[in-house]
Amino acid sequence: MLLTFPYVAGKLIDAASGKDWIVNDINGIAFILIGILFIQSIFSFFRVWLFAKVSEKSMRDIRVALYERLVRLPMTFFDQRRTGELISRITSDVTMLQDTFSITLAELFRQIITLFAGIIFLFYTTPRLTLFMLITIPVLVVIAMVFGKFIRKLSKKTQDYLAAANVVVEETLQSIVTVKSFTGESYEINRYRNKLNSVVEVALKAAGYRGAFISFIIFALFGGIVAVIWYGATLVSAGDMSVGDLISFVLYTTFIGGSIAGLGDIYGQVQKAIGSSERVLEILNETTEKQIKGSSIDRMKGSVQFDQVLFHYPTRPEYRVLDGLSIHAEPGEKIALAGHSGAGKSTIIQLLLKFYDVGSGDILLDGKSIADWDPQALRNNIGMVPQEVLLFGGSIRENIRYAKHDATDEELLEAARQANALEFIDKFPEGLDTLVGERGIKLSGGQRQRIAIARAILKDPAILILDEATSSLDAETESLVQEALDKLMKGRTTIIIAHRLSTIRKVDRIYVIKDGKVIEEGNHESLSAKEGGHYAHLVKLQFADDTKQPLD
Amino acid sequence: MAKQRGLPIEESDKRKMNKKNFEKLFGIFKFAIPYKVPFIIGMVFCFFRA
Repeated sequence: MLLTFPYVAGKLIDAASGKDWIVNDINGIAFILIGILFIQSIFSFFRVWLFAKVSEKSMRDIRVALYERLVRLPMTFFDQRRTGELISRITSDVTMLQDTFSITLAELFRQIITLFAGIIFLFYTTPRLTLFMLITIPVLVVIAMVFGKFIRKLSKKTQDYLAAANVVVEETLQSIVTVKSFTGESYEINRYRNKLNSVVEVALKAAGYRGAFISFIIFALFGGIVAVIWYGATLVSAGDMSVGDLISFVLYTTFIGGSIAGLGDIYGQVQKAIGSSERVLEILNETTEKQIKGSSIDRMKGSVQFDQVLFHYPTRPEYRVLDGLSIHAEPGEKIALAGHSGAGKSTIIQLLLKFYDVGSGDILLDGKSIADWDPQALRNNIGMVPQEVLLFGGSIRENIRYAKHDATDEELLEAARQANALEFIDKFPEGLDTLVGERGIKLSGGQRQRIAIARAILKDPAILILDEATSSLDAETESLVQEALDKLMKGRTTIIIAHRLSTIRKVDRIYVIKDGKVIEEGNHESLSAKEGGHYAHLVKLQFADDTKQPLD
Repeated sequence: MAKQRGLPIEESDKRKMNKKNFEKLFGIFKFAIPYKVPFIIGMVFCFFRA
């Protein structure tokens, strides 16, 4: 349709100068032109709508497939990648592919048809002028494209230099106290000035080339068009061509030039789309966590045994985190892991949740090797109350229900009551429907803890992990949370990680971990009384801290 | 500095056009297979529009 437009437009001019065509009336030809535009607009509408339908739906499918794959990938995958990079796969890369589906592909198809059909048509109607045009305009367009790309690179370089200069400002303002205390103001001003001088140098170089480019466009490209029109005009004056044909020719040439220039952009878009598809496929081809069939049971009894476990994180193979660690807990027992930061306590929990595979040794759950447990079946039996609770940005109801999606309102309220959470939930006008804000920011630390406890109560796990659950709370909130935790721990195997040794006095057994090994084992009394013992030392240190604290 | 919510696609993210890379791009096109009918009709409209 688009390609018929210049031809008919030429015929309109010819009709005005008395030349015959299938329609001789100017108004009639004008109506044909309007008809062409009307049909073209209908085709364009359906083309855009259908391509949007295909691209929106297929991109939804890609995003779901990516997300589904991402959340099922093992922890080792996340250890090696930044969150921002992964979010980019679902946002920037999929958007790039969407553009390719909806715009680039259609444009590529259209430009190729315009280019080839246009040239064939011109060769058929005005061969001599077409040949003259083809040895001038496309060459100039290609030169302009290469030149343009070079200038874009220079502009990018200017932007990079400017970004580097901005880093100086950012660093200085962020560390203004350091700058002032070291009287570094003059040094920083000089540093910024030098960076800006580099920006000016590159920007002026780019400006020089940009000026030359504009001059080239004005002189060479438009000069080329003038040359083609001049040659056409000589053909018209010699009677070898009509004025209408010349108009058609100029319009076709404009279309062809546009197509050549457009193909350059499309080429870059396709290159980017290939990069995006490569990164998207990279995730889609990743292996998800191993599912083990036949290991799902309704409820575990809760016996846990670490047997001579050796482990290092895949990202740090040179550093052994657990070095022949052995601990055990019978169903319903409460054990605690004590030790300094970096001793390996949190790693024990990560292995118990099967986030990583054990290097050597074994972890037995209800007497069965963790390797034979399906990760989901295993995690369904483990509840956790971490030190820093991050909630989802919905309502309190949604957050508690996360543990059991089909829980009734009665079950939710009972869990909240047992977790000592109902007392503050009832004070909110919206009750359970109160929105907690992003990551639960609208609630206090203690309130978030109690929501996490309610969630754990609703989950009703056989094994409970308390990761320093009360360490960041004030005394009053701690007592409320501790009371809720005591209820939660009843009848469950509980593993407590605590720096504050006062919270683990009542447990059945304490394992003191150092350098990935158990160095002491026993209850609070026996370990505290051990002369020269590590735990006794920790107790003394903590006692000293606790007595110092009021003075601080 | 990269934004946490996703990184923009840079010039360096471009890949060369060759057979192997095109296969990757077409690997993504399998997601459009369920919608092949509107896609083909769209291409027909695209052709006639041109």
